[in-house]
Amino acid sequence: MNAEIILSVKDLEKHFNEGKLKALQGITTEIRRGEVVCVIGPSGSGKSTFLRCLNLLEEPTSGTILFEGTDITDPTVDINLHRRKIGMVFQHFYLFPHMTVLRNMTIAPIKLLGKDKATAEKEAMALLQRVNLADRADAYPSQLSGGQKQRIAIVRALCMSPDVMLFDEPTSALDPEMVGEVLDVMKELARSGMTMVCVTHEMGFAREVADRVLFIDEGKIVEEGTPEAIFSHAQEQRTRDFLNKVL
Amino acid sequence: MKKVIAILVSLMMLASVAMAAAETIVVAFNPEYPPFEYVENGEYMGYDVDLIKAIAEKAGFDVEFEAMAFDAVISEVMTKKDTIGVSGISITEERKLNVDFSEGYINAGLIVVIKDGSGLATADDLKGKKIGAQLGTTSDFAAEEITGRENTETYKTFLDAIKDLQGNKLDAVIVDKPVGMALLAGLADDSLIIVDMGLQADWYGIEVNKENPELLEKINNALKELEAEGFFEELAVKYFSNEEAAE
Amino acid sequence: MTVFEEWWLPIKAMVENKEPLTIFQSFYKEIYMNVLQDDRWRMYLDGLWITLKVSFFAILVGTILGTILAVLRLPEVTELRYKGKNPLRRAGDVVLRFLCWFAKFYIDLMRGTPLLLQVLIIYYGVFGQVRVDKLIVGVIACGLNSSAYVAEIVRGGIMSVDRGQTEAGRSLGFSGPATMLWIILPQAAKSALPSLCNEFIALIKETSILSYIALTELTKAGDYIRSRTYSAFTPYIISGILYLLMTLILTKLIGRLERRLRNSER
Repeated sequence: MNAEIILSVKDLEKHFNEGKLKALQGITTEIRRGEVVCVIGPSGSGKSTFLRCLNLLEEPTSGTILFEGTDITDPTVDINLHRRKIGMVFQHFYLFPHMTVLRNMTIAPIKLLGKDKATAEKEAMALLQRVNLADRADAYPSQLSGGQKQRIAIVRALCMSPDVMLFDEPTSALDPEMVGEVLDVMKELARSGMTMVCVTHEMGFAREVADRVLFIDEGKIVEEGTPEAIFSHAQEQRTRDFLNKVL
Repeated sequence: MKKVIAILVSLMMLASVAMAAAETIVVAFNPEYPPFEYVENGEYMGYDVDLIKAIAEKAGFDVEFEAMAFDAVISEVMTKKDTIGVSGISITEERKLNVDFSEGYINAGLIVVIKDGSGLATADDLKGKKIGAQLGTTSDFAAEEITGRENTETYKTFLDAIKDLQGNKLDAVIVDKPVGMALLAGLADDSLIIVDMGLQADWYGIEVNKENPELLEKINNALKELEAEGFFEELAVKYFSNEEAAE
Repeated sequence: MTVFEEWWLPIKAMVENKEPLTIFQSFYKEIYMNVLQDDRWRMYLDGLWITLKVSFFAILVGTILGTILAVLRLPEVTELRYKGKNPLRRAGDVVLRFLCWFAKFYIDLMRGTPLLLQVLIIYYGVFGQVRVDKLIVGVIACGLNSSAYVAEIVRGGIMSVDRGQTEAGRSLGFSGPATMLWIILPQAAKSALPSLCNEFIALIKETSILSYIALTELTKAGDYIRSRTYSAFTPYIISGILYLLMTLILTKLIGRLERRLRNSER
């Protein structure tokens, strides 16, 4: 594992309510190109906050985040330029309801990257093919099932050709029968070499796909390692307790 | 029980007799038009006020004054049989189709108010100029005849027109001679001057509801008597003296 | 002589001779005097045209300005603080803070004072010595007034949009203003549309206040004809019907727009 470091997080803290709630208490880690990192932990542990700090949807209270060498927590840095390279998928999809699927996928490349409409749509259609939703290009989000929405949300982010993809519990809001189709897309994405950080409750997915698993509790990384190390040979009692509950 | 009814009936008869004895006529008017009608120390004053009081005395009815906007006067007269309009109202053929008018009682002539130095001297000079007047007055009709409908600006009151003349939004304002004299004397604006261009005015008449020809006849008879007695000369001295002084 | 005049003359003679008219004759008398004679219908149409122009441009001004005001009232904007050291952006932060304060003040001021006073102040105060087209005064006064109401309606619309929509937009790399423009406002507009329709209808009717500065719009046209014919209310009824037509058509158009937006995201 000597690939280039994409994200380097150092002493990351995030406090809410003027410090009364310390969601993150000094997180330090690195994410390398091509790596798939799954973040697990009990609810309220701060794992979602950690993920949302990575593209500054949450502004860190202290600490630094280097994205491809640039400290994005520096207020003079134009975060919008860096967010283009950091794709994000939300638990509740957040497709734009007033746009067709195709428009959802092409608006950012057209407006932000200056791509012409034909090129953007060609690229979007290719991505839709990959997730078997080419026939839904002209549908509106309200006409799609939850699984379809999330697959669209993933390819919408991919349209910006990001260097890293963040997934915030992408399957938690789905009916059980739709979880599989979304995980399949994510597995395919991982195989294609995409750098991914996934906050997830899908332990099976983490075990199968992750290069590294982070167990976060009470705002700290309690333990990290390969899936094998975490799921079969956890060193910390807290990790074992959590895994016993969910597995 | 019968007794009570008898008393009530006799009371009602008494009341109606009393009413018949002193019939009350409502005078609808707009007391913003000195010297014809205005308010001074809380009292209604003016040429028209004195005139209608004299008429009432001759014809044997009581008057009750009701102040309102100029364009509300006509609705009152048309919809209420016992209401007359005495408010410097011009007699026109068209209006006669909807209300009855008394004989004309004064034709005071029109004057033109302009800005000093504008060089307008005759009615011909006013052609194509923006002229202001109070809506529905003889001045309004005269302005429309001189400069056309599209160049005539009509206002709720004469003073509104003067404000637009002061604000350079009009070239001239046409107004009844006594009214213009009286109001401008109070305004004390040196930049305005008065020109007599010999414009023809309409006669003023008293508006009477079409359903009340008896009242119209009483008023016309009283007007005749008053004229014979020289009452109008008295009124002219009382209300137009400052006009003579100005000339 | 037109056929209308031919029908009119015997009725006119009857009025002059004080003969009673039938209901139909009275009705024709009103129509002839207030509409047909001297091409008076033209006055209503001219007035209608002016009311339409004032309303259209005032709605335009009110909507654009109102939307800007609405954005300046959002917590995301009022609580925005620049923490860096760039002096230019620090100054921009101060300007923005002032604009936010001004937006609130402006909305309170415009909603808290009568439109009539605003019209008079703009006409006599702002354009004191200027020969200005009254139409422009009308557009400015009504537009500025309406913007305050539109601002609160649009603000409500924006706040009804899920916060996640903003996050989705920002995570793609859209700036705050771009997210607002492309993602939030179109959704806000949809939920604000019924209230906006209400506001536009109110605005169309309120332009009648402009008759106070002698703008010959629809109400003034009725006033003008009434001052000639001395009909108690017929010109008002005709003007009223024209206002009703305008607002009904507007309601219909907005209803159609609403349906289209709804269909697209069933």
